[in-house]
Amino acid sequence: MTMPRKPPRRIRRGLDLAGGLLLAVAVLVPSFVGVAGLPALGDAVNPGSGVWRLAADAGRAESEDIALSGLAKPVTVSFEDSGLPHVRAENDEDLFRAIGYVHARFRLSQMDLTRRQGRGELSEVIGPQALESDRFERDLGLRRAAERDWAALPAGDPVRAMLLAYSAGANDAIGGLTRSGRLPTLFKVLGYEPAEWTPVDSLVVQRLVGQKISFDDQAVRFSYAREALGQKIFDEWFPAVPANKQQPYDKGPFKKLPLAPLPISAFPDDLAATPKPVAAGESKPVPVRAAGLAKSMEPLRERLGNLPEGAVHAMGNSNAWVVAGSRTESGAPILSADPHLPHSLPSVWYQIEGTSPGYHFSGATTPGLPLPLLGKTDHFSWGLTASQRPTTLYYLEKTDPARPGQYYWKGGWRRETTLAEPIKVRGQAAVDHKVRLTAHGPILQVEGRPISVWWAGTLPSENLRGVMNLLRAKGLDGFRDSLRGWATPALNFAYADAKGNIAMLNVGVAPQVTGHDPALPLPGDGSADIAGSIAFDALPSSVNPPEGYIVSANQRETTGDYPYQYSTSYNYVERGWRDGEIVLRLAQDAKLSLTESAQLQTDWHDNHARQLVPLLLDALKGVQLTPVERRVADLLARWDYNATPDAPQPAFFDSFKNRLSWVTFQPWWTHHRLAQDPDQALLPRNPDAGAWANETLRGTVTSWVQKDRDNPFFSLPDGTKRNATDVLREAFRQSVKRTVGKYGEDFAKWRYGTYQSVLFPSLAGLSALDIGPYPWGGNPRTINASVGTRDDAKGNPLSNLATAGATMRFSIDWGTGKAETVIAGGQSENPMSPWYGNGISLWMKGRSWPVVEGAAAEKISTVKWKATP
Amino acid sequence: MEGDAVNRWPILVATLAVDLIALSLGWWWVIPLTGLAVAAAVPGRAAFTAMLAGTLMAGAASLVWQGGARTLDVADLTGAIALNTRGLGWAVVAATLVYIVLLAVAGAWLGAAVRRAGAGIRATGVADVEPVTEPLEERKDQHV
Repeated sequence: MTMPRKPPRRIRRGLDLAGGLLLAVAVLVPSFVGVAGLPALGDAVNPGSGVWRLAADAGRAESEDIALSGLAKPVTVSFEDSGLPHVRAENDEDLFRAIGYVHARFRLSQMDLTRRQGRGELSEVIGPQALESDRFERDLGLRRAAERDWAALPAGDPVRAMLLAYSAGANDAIGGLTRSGRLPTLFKVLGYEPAEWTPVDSLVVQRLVGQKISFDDQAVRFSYAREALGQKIFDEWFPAVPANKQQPYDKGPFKKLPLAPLPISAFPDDLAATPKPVAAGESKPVPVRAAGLAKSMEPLRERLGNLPEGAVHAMGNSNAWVVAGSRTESGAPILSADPHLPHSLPSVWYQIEGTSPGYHFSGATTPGLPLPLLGKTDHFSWGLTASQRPTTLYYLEKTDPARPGQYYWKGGWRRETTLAEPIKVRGQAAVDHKVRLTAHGPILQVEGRPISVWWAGTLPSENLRGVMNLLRAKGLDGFRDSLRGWATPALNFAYADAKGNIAMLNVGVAPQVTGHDPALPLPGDGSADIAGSIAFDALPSSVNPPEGYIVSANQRETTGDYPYQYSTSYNYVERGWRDGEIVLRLAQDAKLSLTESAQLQTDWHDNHARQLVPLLLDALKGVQLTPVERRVADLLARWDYNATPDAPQPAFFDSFKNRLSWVTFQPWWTHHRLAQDPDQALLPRNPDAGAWANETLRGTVTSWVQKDRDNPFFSLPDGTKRNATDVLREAFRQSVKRTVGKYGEDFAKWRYGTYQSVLFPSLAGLSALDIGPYPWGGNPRTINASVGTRDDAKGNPLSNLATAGATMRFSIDWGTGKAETVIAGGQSENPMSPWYGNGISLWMKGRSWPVVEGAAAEKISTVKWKATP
Repeated sequence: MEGDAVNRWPILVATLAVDLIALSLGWWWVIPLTGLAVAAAVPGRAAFTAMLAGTLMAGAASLVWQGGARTLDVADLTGAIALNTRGLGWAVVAATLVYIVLLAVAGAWLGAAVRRAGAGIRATGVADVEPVTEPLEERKDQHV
């Protein structure tokens, strides 16, 4: 027997060397450059500079001496135990430099992800799953608008100086964190280092904030209903002024002033301004409401429906009220404000006190921007709510397959402007993307009929200059004048000052389109171009009204006789409920204290139930009810309409409010073959689900139940007669059956908090970093709003999982000088920091941090940074 | 045997010291170089084992030095971000140490292969001539 012969020695040596090389390559390549979407492992996990380095920042912040390049004089930053910083500078630019530094130290991941989202550069670090978002943002053009506005700022402009100082401060922090290997975990895990912060980044962030509260798709969504129902029924169901009781703060008389100039293009520069005709064309305008219009917009609906949460404005935003001294215990004005946005960890807000020779403010900043968006100065305080009038206009462009790259506008064929924007994608080759622009703006629907969008958010903006001037104002006149150049988003500024004034001012452009409804898609042939904007002095406002209070809670700001195109009912998400409840309290004779005003922000009384339940109980009188129906009716009779976690009644009302709309309207939308829109959000998917149409229709039907009990739409399309009483009874029976079927007959199991909860999601979308869910109360119609923004795996809305609501609360009493604030998501983005989500506990208890300033803040601060040049 | 004659302690201590300093500076690439250098210079299992032990100790000490009492917290956070799951801190620590050892092994194999190739050339004087006998460490180091 012969032994198998060994391979030649030379071959074995070669194999040995090859094996060594192979292993070395297999280990070192992912270590140096990363593979398969992983970061470079060497940098990511080595103890000296990788993730392990972060333990240094895991505890509370420590006192430090910091070298900040470019400072003119030393700056101090003092931190309270809660993480609230107080920045004291001897030079205005130093103040903004220090704010940039502080933001980047505590929110660098957030700042980087935010600018990347706005610039359309998320795919570069996240991968192909962010491509849709990037394509959309490139089309929308936040970065192009920011670059244009930055280039327009001349040397020496104070806004330019402020942005440069802020960027320099942020870059000092980025450089320091990078050099010391202490970049936030997200960078280590994703395996990249943040680029330097630039002024353009700040301008991009400014526009992204605007996008989240003003870029909407209601015009496209409701075009489905308009097309199926016809104008008459559409107007009855979705009237211009919501049908239920409204609380407009400006009741007139109104000024009718000439329109202010407003560009017809979302990019009023040489990109797309007055494109020259390339060929003569027909002059006959194309009828917009041709049959099948809604169907032709399906690709756009699908595209918008696939964007990340928050990219499209989808909820009512905020409460703000001001109360005159005549109605307060202190005898001076009180202001309360709580902006409603998606909850996130970290919060969209970062509370800060800034002091310099030219400024003194305490307020909520957004990381990436150097200025507070709401807060107080030594002279006044202000809060914000979103004005929901349309500033997103959709144009149906006319094209011809025989004329590729052209569109028809103002009697001629024009060439589209195209911009090539390759998108870098992590783990794969860059993707080519082409932005197409018409005279109105970017084309968002490229399949089928092109649809372009005019969104006010990309217009030239003087917002930052406005806030800079606002912060230097000494009173109401200066405050108001500083907002004249405000472009977008359309907002209501609530105002209360030390001199006893209260005011509410609506600001931002309000596009007017002659002969067409801007709340629906418009023809792109030039017949529906923007004619101008409502002039600033004609926008809704209220100053020191005789009733002694002003409320804005996203309701329509004006009455129906306002002499401009303003809005329609479906522009307002929660119409008339929150403001109704606030007014109910403020109109009482009892004097208001700061404590009570702050408590009102946490109120869960459901104004819709307050209006509807008594009418339901009336309708049930004399009706033979089953035992369980009788018990439910008795339960409702004992309800104070407070949707607390302990209350059982919301379990029933959750169903009833939707069933009432379903029982009334579902036979009719079926009769009119009203089709669901592609993302299935226009109509409810089942009798107990909410939907966009429902949000308006519940106001409409409530109004009919109150004032028009024989409205023909209570009857059935087949002629069967019904009235309000019949519909209320039917909805009641269905809701009792459904609620008992779901929760049983034991009312103890109906407790709201057993299925209603609040969740604070991580901004990075990592559920492992979420906080919650916790049992909670309220709903989208309560002052303390609980808004579900997520869907389950089947696409059904998780309306009982509140992921949006009051992201911060702020109240101030100018009589006592006391103010308080709380930011639910906390001050730090580092999940190991004691300041991560550190506002949640207080927020849930309805408590706040006192706003302490100046020397008093110095006394209670426990950490101090001393920055020197 | 030749390898057993090597004193392991100097190798362990030297590797520990070099890797500890390198890791404290974030120079993770020193680890495979250390492995390469040791395996190229000193044949045998004992040297290899000592080098691995030194690397592992340097890695572990470095983690504890950087993380202190928060080491597992950092690991947990890293696991949460990388895997979207809480409670996997121990796995992140283990994976980090395995990775560090793997770097050393990769360097060591390459170092040993270079040494063996060099030894073969020296033994025959001509690289492409078959040696009469295999060097001792060839049989002992086959595990590498």
